[in-house]
Amino acid sequence: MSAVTRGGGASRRRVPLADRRATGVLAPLVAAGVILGAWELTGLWINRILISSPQGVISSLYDMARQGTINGALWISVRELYLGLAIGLVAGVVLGVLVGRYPLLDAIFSPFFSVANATPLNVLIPLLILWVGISAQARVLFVVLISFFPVLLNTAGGLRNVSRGYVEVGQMLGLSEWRMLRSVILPGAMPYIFAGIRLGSALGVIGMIVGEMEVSNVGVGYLLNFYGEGFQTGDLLALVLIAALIGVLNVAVVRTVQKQWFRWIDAAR
Amino acid sequence: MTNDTRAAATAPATPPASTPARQTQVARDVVLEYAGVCKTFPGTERTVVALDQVTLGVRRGEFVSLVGPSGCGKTTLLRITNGLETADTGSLALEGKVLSSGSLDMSYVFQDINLLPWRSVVKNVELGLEARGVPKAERRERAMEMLAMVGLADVADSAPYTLSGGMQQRVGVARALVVRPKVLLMDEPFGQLDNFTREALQVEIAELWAKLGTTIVFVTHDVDEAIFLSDRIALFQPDPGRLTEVIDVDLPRPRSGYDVRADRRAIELRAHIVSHLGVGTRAAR
Repeated sequence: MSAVTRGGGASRRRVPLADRRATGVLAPLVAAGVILGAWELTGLWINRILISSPQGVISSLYDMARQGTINGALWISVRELYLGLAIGLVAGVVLGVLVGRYPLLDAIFSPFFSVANATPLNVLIPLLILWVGISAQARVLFVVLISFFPVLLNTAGGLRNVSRGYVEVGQMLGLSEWRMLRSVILPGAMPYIFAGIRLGSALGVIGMIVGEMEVSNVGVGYLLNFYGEGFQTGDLLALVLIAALIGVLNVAVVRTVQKQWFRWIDAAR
Repeated sequence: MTNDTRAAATAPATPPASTPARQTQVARDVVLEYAGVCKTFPGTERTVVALDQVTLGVRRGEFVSLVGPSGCGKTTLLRITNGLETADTGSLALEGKVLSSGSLDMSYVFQDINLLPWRSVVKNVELGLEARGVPKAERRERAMEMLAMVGLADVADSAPYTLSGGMQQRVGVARALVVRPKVLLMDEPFGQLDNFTREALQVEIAELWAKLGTTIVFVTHDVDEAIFLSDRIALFQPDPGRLTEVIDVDLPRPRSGYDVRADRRAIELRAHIVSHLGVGTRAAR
């Protein structure tokens, strides 16, 4: 009874906002600590060559950074990745819009796109090598290929799924095709387009690594092969960490763009 | 075909002495004319005749309601009017010109409103003006003027999904009226609102109509709403969807000052409409 009326209004049971935020940061940190600790302990009964340790990975990272072995490889990889992504995402959105909006283009191209999307695209790597040699072009092309299809298919699907009600608003106001596309269809498809871009930019990292493992003697992918063959597990896992960080960074950037400029996507549903 | 019919239609007219039902008036300045409109929707189970030979003339400045139970084709007729559907046979003429696929001179208020969430309130209102090539400054000015008229000038820059349902539909009305349509088509515009909001909006739309003189064709299955708002009520019946009677609502205007449901004449009208539509009308609400 008295708890309700106790002075100050500051209920003792309610967790202040700052504390709740802290929990949101603290909980995963604690979890990570437990996992890393357990990993460190596995060294007691598992050969370090198979699993390394958190300490080993960190010292590998440090050495790589200090000796500069990673810098060159990372620079090459990232450059190829983002060049490939830029081409793949733009081409995917543009072609997705055309295929999603115009039934004739859909009828012509969609069977081809569906087959291509279902094909494991690394079968094309020998072909790419044949065409452009073991080169940066081949790796960029592979990133383009692997990021292109999910963006294309999501964009096309998004355009076909714009709420009928929005389209009818455009019709009743007498919008021209161009204005309809710009003011109704494209914004309406934006949630799907973003989903495609998120997927494409994550897959692009796979494209980059696979491309380098298969088609190069440079880059992060090549180093992965190199360390694997040399049983340098700590270095290997350091590279895995770096590759994961690139993927996470990509998705975070896409999310931030969506939150910043397309706030309605989350707010309106 | 004179211009002063507008005044005649919008001024608070004294009720005519004759019986309201089955009045055949000489068509004066018909702005929108349906002649023998038919529409069927082929289905796998059976073909639905949504509209069977609908003929109706809507006069300039008039407020006409299309009333009937679900499936009577009233919404289909409204959608055909604005080119959202096409009639199988029959014709539709706006100011004597036969239309095939809608017209920039008409606009539509949807039951489910459908404000574009990626545009602010005022940008939603401006969209129709963009389509008509109105310059930017004038667009903003007219949109703001319209928003002020529906009492929403202060939320012009808000996102539409932050507004209540009633406010959203006011924006829907502003969006339709800002292009200065010759005919405003409203498809159960207050159907999704709660009772209090609905009644407030009924009063507002009656005032806007009196002020702007826009011809309004209004679909509803709420008999009281139709009586409160309309000059004439077109009664529809389903299976096949057809127009069975047009009645004059000879109540004085403005009507917001008194309770239409308690007015003796209104009660008579209501009884007539309900008996005409038969059982099931209430259930359709």
